[in-house]
Amino acid sequence: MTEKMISFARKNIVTLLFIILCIFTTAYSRQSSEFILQELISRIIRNAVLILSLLMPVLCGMGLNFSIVLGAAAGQIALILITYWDLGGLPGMGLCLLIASGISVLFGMFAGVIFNRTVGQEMITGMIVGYFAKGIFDLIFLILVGTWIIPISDSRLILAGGVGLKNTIDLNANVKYVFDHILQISFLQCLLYSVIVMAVFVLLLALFHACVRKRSRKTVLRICLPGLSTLGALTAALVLFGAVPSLRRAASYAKVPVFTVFIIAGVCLLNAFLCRTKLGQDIRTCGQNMQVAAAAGINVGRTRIIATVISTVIAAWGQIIFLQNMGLINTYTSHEQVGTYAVAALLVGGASIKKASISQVFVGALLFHLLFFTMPLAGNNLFHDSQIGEYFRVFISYGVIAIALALHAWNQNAKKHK
Amino acid sequence: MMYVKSMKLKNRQHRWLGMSQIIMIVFLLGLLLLSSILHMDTSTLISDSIIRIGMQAVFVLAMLPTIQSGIGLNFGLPLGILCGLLGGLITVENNMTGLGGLFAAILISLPLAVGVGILYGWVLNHMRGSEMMVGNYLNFSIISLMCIGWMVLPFTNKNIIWAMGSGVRSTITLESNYEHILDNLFCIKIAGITIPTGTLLAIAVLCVFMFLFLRSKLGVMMRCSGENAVFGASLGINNNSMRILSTVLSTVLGAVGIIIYSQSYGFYQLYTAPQMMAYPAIAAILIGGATTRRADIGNVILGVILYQSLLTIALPITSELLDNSSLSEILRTIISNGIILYALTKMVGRKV
Repeated sequence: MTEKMISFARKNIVTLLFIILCIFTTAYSRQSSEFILQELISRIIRNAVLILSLLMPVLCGMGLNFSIVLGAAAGQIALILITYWDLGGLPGMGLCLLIASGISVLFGMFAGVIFNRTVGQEMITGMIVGYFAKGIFDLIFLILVGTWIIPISDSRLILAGGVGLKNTIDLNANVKYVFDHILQISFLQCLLYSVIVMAVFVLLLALFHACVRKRSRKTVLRICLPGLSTLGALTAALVLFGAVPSLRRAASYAKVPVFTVFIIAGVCLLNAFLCRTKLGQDIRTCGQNMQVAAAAGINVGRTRIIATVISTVIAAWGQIIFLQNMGLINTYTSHEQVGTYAVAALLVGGASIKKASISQVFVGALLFHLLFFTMPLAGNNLFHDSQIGEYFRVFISYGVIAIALALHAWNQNAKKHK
Repeated sequence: MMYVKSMKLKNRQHRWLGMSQIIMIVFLLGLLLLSSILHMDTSTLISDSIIRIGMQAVFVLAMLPTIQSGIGLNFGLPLGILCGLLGGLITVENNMTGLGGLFAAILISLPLAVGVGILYGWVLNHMRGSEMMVGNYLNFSIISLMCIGWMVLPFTNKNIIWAMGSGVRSTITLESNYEHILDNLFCIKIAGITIPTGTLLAIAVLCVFMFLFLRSKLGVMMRCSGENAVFGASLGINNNSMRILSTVLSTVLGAVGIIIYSQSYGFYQLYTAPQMMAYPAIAAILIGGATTRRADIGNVILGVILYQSLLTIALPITSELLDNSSLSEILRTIISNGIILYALTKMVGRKV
């Protein structure tokens, strides 16, 4: 038993460390539970899709895809375009997602082709691709926009000199928060509804397998186990938030944007669905062993490019969701750190370079972003200097990537020596 | 020892003046011609590029040992830079001036850099195959950790700490210490071109030292082990210690490099400033014809001259033609990352 616990702790060392850190900083941030819960929910929802975009390349054995910066840039380009055309509302956002998907397919193919020439070094290549793309992005939008090459003149977008986009672009009123404001319910209601939906879903699944497929009781239980455990966790959360008075107050105060949650759930389902198709199997095979995959007749290069394209497209959607929630675009910096933060959050959730799951995305988003906004507050309370907390959280996000990479490489080498 | 001999021969055949380098030299000469046609101050452009070459050369030289020992491009160079900065700050704290101050800074940072280099090499020995990625993120995380370090280190000199609040300033002027001390040493002016002889001499000394080291028994052992670790082991060369030797050399050169850089620049830059300093150096050695597995002193010298003069001469010309001031920084990003990307795709390794 103790051996099992030790091996569990060793496997999840990063996550456990973060849980302890989070408890510490949350306590020292001295904020009301309403504030923390609300901030946490909006941050998780804002970032979830961006982190989800990392899953496919991990499955394909390409490691953590730092080049989702390209996807984020594509999303930003699409948003700038619909701001320029004065479109908005749901149809406008639909068009925006469509444009972003188109651009990011091209970007993803570019990154994928480069990754196919640098097998084994995809992560560092992805990072350099990101820096390179940032240079090109700046060149186009700071130097060329407004000149005879890309003739645009719009006082909302262009700098006073007539050349280059403004540093911050305010989104149109009907683009700002468009997904978030469709339907909002309190966190407590959200928990209640999700428990009900989950219970009905598990029940239907069990009935379907027991009565229609005529499976044995044991098999039915095995199939329903993930659903049941999720249901258990949700019910526990509901009881916790319903019973403790201060948490209850926070949970009935905090708002959850339902439509955005549906989009996130949709992306999760898309990911799960893709894994079950022929393509998903090919991607998984490439991830396990490229030689075997090639011998089995899989076009390895093509599969890897497709995985990169999927990742880039989802990242573009993620950036659009992120920015409509923020309400404005920091034209030259919004996409810069997307890769680092998404990767750090995923690793905090307990993922590695070889393995990542949807649940790790959400655990990681929760812990990383809780730490991210409580750290400066705690730093301010402890050292009377928020700057220290500010630097410390940058250190944490780089450090967790360094440690996760190092642990992985260490284990690989240890295996080789055995 | 036959293999070692044949490798020496092979290395001698390794041509560092390839077709792409010749094209670039011709391009550079064309740019110089263009600048005089545009009535720009050509001699200032040349002086600027010589100064920039002097500032960056040691960083580029620091890439050499790690490539030769098989580690590859050293993305962790800023670890050495941090050691140099710490040594430099201690000299400013104690009001050391002149050449003595400069050498004191180097001497203080040396043991630090050796220690950090040993640790860094030890870590990288366990990370075979992902040295570049781990080195890069190790660099990023240590830089941000040192951001906290700069805030809490107990410096007291008024030139170093903020007038209000706590911590070290983000840029520390060396005006009263050793600004331009090497640049102005035996400084010569020919036809309007200023030559910072002292800096160039220091770099020449380091280059000669590196050249001799690589041809010494230890250096040949390091190169042999880097070329083929298994063969090296059969000759009795310990690959791990050779790799640690190379990271120590590289880290020490990083520390010396930042001190030479800063005396020419006139400031110590702290906090996040050193984070991206490895990238121009990597781009320079690659432009000089090196690959991630193969490099020589010729690549270093040619690379730093080509890369720095290309940027210092080409960027004012493009700004003049396009009339935009932020262009140069953007082009710098595109060019240096484009070169690194190109070199990565040319890496020896599996392709699909």
